[in-house]
Parts: sequence; C-alpha cells; structure tokens
Amino acid sequence: MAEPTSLGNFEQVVLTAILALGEEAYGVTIHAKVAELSKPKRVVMGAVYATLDRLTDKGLVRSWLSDPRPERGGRSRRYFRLEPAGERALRDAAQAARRMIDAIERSWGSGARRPANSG
Amino acid sequence: MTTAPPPLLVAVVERLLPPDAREAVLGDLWERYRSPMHFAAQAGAVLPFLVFARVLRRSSWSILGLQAFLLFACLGGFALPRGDAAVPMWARAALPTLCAFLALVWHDAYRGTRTDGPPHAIWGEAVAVILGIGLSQMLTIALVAMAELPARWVLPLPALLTAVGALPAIYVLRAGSWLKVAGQPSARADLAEDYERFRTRVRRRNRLEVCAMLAVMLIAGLALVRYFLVSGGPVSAIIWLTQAQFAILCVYLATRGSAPALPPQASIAEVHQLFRSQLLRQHRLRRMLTWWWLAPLFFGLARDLLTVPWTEPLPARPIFGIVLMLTLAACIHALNEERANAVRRRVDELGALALP
Repeated sequence: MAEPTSLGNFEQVVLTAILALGEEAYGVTIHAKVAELSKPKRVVMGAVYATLDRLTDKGLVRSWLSDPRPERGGRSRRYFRLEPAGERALRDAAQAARRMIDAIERSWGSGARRPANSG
Repeated sequence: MTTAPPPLLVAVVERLLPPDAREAVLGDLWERYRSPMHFAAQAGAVLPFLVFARVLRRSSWSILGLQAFLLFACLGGFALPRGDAAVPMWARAALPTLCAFLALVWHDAYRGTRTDGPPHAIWGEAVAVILGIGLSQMLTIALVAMAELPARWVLPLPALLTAVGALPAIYVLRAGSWLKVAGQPSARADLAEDYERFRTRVRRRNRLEVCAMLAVMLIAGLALVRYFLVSGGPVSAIIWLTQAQFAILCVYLATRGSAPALPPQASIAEVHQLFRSQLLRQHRLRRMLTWWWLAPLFFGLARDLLTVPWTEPLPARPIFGIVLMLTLAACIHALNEERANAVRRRVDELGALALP
C-alpha cells in the first residue's frame, strides 16, 4: 500500500481552499480563500504560489491554463483542482485534525475554551 | 481611472518573473491592479517566493557543489602560494566562484520547465558561468583602479583559460538527463517506442559527451603548447594524462557507448529485458564517466596540496589536501547514488509494465 502523503499546515489550508472553490480555483481566488481560512494571520501571495508549485510536484493537484481573458490584459488564468492523491491526503489530514479536536474536547468540554491562566 | 498597469512596468515585471510563471502570475497581478505602486509592490513581494521555490525544486546541490568545487580549483583556489604573492590564492578564486555559483543557481530558477536541447542548455550554463566570473572580475578591476585592492586580486589569464576549459565538464555534470529518455511509459504497448526514444537520447548524450571531451582536449592542448610544453613539470604531465584519458574515453563512447537496436518482432518480455539491461549498463557507464570527468581535478589537487615538502611542524596542507579529496570523492559518490535511485525507480516501473 502506498505511503500516505504528509502535509504541512499551510499545504492543508491551500488544499482546503482549492476544494472549497471547486471550478473557480485559481491564483487570486485561492489566495483570498487561504487568507480567509488563515485569519487572523496574514498570508502573502508568493507563499501561496510556492505551495501550489510544491503540491503540483507532489502530484496532489493538477493545473491548466484557461483561455486568455481581457480583464487580465489578455493573460490566462491557471486553474487548480485536487488529484485523487490530494483528496486522500486532505481526508487523512482532516481525520487527524478531527481526532485532535475530539481529544481536546474530551479534556476541556465540547465547545469550551480553556481559560488562559487555568492549570 | 486607469485600470491597467503601465506597459513599461508590465514589461519589467514580465522579464523578472520566471518564464513558466509569467502568464498566470502576471494575469493575477493585473487582476488585482489598483495603482502602479501597488502593482510593483505586489510583484516585488511575489518574486522572491517564485524564484526561491524554483531554486529548491530544480537545483541539485550535489551537482552545484561539484561545479563550484571544479571552478574554484580551475581558478587556482588550491594552487600553491607563490613566494611573492601578497594575496592568498584561495581568496582570489573565491569571489568569481561564488558569483558563478549564484549565476548557475539563478539559471536554474529561470530556465523553463521543458528540458532544453543540448545546444540551448550548454549555451545557458556557459553564459551563466562566464557572466558570473566576468562580473566579479569587472568589480575587482574597478576596485583595483580605485586603489582599494592590490592588482594581484585580478585573476591571471591562465586561470581564466582553465575555467573556460572546465565549462564542458560543468555542463556534462549537470546533463544527467539521459535517464529521462524513456519518459513515462503510459502503457505496455508503448514499451518498444520508449526504448527507441531511450536509444536516441543515449546516442545524443554520447555525441555530446564526445564533443565536450574534444573541447577539453583542445583547450588543454592549447594551454600545453602556450604555457607548459617547454617548462614541463607536473602540470604538463597532468595535461598529457588528461589528453590520453579523454582520447580513450572518446573512442570507447564512439564504439561501445550506444544501446543496441531492438530485434525485429521482439516480444514485450524481450523488449523489457533489453530495456532493463541497457538502462543498467548506461547507468554503470555514466557512473564511471563522472569519476573520469573529475579525475584531472584529483590529479591537480594531489599536485597542489600533497606534493609540498612536509617541513612545517604540522603538515596542515597535505592533511587538508587529503580531506578535500575525500570530500570530493564523497560528493561524486552522492551524485552517483542520486542517479542510481532514479535508475532503480525506472527499472521498477519497467518491471511493473512488463507484467502480463
């Protein structure tokens, strides 16, 4: 069986953004979505590009160029979508996050926030 | 209100962006355009990420390390200090080597995603190295002219000629792409076609390597005639040895270096068998050639670092020489291992394809 692909935190966020955007996932929209998901942290566009390149190299996402568009000075958009390996990696990451959240909720109570200076 | 960035700014940003990112990234910057300052700031923020990501993805540090090592040695960085030399040889060679190294890294970031053909690739690498060394020398000459540095900091002509002689080796070290040859066979039925592509690539690679060896022989021959034929000595012996070594390798590559054609009506199993054995044979050949390409460097290091009289209380220089040669050997071994792993992956893929 293939070794599961390990994802960094930011890679998980970028994959989530691509998944959420569906057919409309390209540089500008992915950056906006990643910024929304990462609040209050500020996300620079260059980091999103570098991560998209890395995810493409890992075979987790696929990209293609659209037709040229006048609102972009006649340049194309590079659209992204998840590959099956990317979907699997994201699902594994989500399950790991879910297990972590469950463990935290068991300790602190569901929906409860741990007081800043307790314990 | 203007909704498009100024054409001059677009042209500048377009030239600065790596070629494979230009279309999409420039379009994204255009779509987010608010003002010329905002456009320039966005481009400036994106650029380091794009370049750095490409350097990390495309550069092989073992190859870059070997290339820098080779250049440093050719520029006289390990040469014996002369009695009257006010400037250490290593210091004089360090700046041009660093500049050439950075130029090669830069070249990695800006070359396209497609594999360049040999002439294009040789041109790109040669220009990067020559630009790197040239710029460093221009800077040094300017500092000498301003009396900030002594004139000895400028590299002498023989050192520059030796660096030019190293260019073919610098290119060949990097051109390990004979393996990509076979590409990614998509189906069992494509195996014969993939093998033919592999053969073509091996043939091209051998031709390229023979040309590179002939170029080294020519440059080394010129240096021999111009500087060392009369004086003789160890450098002359090393050049003769290099000439003989490359002549033998050229003959070997021309006569035995290619991969045989497929027998007519070969079955899938036969194609697989031949493909596998030839992949492994070519790998062994390239492995051996990497050592031979850098053999003159070992001879040169031995001359410069081991043949000094051990008169000082601590024989620091010979010990440094031995450590350096072991490091060089380790780097070559690491590069060969990197390629061996790629060959193993390829052989496994072929094995999976050949299964009924």
